Amino acid sequence: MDKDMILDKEISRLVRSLEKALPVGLEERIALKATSEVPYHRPFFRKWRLALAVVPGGAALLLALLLLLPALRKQEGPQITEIRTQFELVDKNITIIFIQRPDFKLFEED
Amino acid sequence: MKIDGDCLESSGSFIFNAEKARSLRRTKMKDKEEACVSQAAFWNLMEPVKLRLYNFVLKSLNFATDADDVYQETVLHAFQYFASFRKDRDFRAWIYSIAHNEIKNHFRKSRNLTASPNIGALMASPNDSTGALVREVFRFAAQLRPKEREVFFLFYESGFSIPEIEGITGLKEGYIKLLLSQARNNLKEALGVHHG
Repeated sequence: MDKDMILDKEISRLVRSLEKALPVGLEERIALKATSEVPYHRPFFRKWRLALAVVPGGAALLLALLLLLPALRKQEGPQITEIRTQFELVDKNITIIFIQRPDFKLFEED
Repeated sequence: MKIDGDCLESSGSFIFNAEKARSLRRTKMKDKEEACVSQAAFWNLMEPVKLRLYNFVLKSLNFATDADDVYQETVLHAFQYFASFRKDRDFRAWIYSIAHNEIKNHFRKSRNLTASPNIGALMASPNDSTGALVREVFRFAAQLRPKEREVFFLFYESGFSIPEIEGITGLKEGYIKLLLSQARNNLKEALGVHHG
């Protein structure tokens, strides 16, 4: 660890030994540009830009969901109200029809 | 007709409200004063950082001439977004994270900055023993990928700690440690050659 620290110090010394000064006029150019540009003073949009982006998105999603809900809802099939069983005695020209309804009670004793 | 004050529209009619106008003017003046104070505070904070920051940008870009532009963009962006700088944060780390983004953007735009710098031409006394070692260090740094070179110079040029580099670059601590360890191993050999 100590060896690493010594080496780090040596590398740091060598890296820092080559130092260039800021070019002449660069600072003035930056200062001039900085003051000529309009500073950023819209904290409301900065703070709420995420919320502002999320709200319309959420609203659109909700609207789409509400519109699609009836289409996505599982449609109920037709309800069976009665079962018909039909027999035909052709030679006697008789047709027997049994109609089974929900209120039909089988094996009910009087 | 000029009225010295603000007229507020209220349900179709204009109501003269001098007190409101004075209050608004006071707020505007206060804002202006605060902006001036803020600008002065920015340049005051920049003063001790600028030279190291410039050298960090310069070295991270392999002494490319574009370094001036990248440094300029860094300072301008920092100035522009200074209002968002939290006073409890370290200004140095904050501005270096802006520089990191600018360097990243620069390399994204121009991928052909692989030319090694002529370190000898940049040095005051390139022929002494230290000069050879410096050349060796920068030759090694020039071979690194941009991200790795940034970590190298954040540590050795700017003197940031590993957690600070993690905060600036968003790289994992383990990866930073690995990069620095590789740099040490490589330079140990390279510097060892010159030490004898």
